Amino acid sequence: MRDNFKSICAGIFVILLTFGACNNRSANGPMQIGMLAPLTGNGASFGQSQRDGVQLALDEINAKGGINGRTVELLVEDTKTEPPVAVTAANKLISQSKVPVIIGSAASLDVPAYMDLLEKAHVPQIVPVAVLPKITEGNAKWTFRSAMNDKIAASKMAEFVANELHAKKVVLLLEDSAFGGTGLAFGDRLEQLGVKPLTVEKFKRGDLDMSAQLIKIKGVGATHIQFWGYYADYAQVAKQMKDLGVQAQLMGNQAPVTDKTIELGGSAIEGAIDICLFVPTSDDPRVKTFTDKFKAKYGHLPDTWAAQSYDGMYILAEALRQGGSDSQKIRDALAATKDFDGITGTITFGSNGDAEFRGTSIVMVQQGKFVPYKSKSK
Amino acid sequence: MFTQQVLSGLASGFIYALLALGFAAVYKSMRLINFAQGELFMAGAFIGLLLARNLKLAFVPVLLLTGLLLFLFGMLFERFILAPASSRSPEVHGMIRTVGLSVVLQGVALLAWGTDEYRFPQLLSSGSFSVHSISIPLNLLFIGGTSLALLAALVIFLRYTHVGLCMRAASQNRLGAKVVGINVKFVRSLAFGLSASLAGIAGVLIAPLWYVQYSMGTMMGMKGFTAAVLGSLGSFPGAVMGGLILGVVENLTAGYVSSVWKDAGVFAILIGVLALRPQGLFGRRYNERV
Repeated sequence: MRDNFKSICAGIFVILLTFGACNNRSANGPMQIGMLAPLTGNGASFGQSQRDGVQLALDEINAKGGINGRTVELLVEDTKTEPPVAVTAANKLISQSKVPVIIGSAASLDVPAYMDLLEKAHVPQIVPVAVLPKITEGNAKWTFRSAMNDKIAASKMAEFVANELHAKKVVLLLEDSAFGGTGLAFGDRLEQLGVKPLTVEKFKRGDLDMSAQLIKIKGVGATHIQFWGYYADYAQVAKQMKDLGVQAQLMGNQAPVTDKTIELGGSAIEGAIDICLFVPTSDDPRVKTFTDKFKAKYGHLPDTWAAQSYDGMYILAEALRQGGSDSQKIRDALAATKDFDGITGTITFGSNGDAEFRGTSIVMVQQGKFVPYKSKSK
Repeated sequence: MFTQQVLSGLASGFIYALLALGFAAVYKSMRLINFAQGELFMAGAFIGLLLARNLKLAFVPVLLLTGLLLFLFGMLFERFILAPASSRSPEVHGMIRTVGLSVVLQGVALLAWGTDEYRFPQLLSSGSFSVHSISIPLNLLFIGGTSLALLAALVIFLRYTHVGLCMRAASQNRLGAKVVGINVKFVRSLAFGLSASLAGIAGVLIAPLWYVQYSMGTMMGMKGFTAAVLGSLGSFPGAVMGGLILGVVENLTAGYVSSVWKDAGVFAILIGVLALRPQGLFGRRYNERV
């Protein structure tokens, strides 16, 4: 009985300590913001870029004295690229850490899973990397995406393929999921432009043998293959195309624009074409300054995801400057973002929370790097 | 296109066949199913990766060394983990221990390498050559050649060597084999070692064509098991044929029906075969001894 009493006392003491620790945030201390990122799992390469990009921006902001005289502290939660884990993590940030705003997960399927929580709790988020169209299709009032909606990417890519490459025999090779399904929007736009895709082939994520699909594609005489899925499968397609002697031009979506693609694909990935918002090898002086800073801190070039996250943090910083730590005011400031001049383009949020379209880059793998696409005829 | 699909299906078919052979060897001599076969395949790929990338070995030494390491591992696992289970209902206890092994192997790989995909050094020249407008990938020839060579070695070992004959005797009649002085314990370890070794070699063979990842073995284990059952569990020629049929059917389903049905087609055939010929395509109809 005495022992029980002791344990209960100890328990209460611990609980009080925890509460004490939580509540000692004062108005002059650091301002805490939350971030959900897939730091492990199969979205890890996106999550790590997201973290690095945001952290670089945050370091710069804090070095200049923070926001309204307060430094900003980032509370990062790993979603493990698993939507249920993302929900738990979002819950933790909202109810335990009580952050006024969240930087949303880079994993496309994480975001729809926890979005409703933010709507109910009235906590805004900025989504700098996740591209799934569904994120901005549900009339969410508290979610703002500075990344490029994948449907826009699909339609821009189709315009490029039809008008620049003048491709006539195009096939689609899509991941069999909501994510890969966006590739159908590419097919629709292409058909509007007068080129009907010859066939639509599908694969499961992580299925390492794509030979059956590729032989079929070779059989219909395709000259261009439009892929929609993740980087590992993209690299795998490139390798097997080489093994099977498929001569077509490989083209991809936004997700494969990462160094991991080049590491896995090796020489087979050379010449592949993709779409994204940012090219690290661009001649733009502002891009150059950013990539130099990034390289000095992390030892490698940033990818488009790191650059988008860097921009995302600066958009958020502006909103924090106007809204302080009041969620409603931050939301309103985010919604009012207009012509934000970032390194990935000029960003204005539309009424659905999507960044209005701001120009894309078509990139090509050359000598193990994504470089701006240049037409061979020029 | 048909020939091309069949050829390409044979490449994965040979890998399934190697895994199925492992299932067959263990089932034949121990009457249990080794559920860790897929994870041993993954372990083989990772060991191969370490040998090839960090020790810079050539492909054939990598293949042999991985086979040897997994053979030893399999022997030790059988000797110290499976054999003590042999008192009462050894099959069930043994099978659960192999499930445990698969969980442990995947966990270790996850801790050591995370969920990242790793590129396996391209030790063999990739590419293809054409015969009558059919392109034949070089690595298909290599995988097929190695698998056939392994199969031949296995047959010679079982038919013509003393240890091999002991293994066959022990699998047919355990008590009888004991009576005539065969070291049944050793034979069982040997069978498990062989099965682990085959899985590991399969992992190294396919790794340059794919990438290496902690979860790569799960589906492969299922496919290998399917191939073994398709051919008739416990028959070596059946395992090989089962693997090849599986690989080809997979490619033909994806090529002529729909790529979405690739895996489903395989399992549909398995269910069909089991319904019509429960002993498998190549099994003899006989009653299990009591």
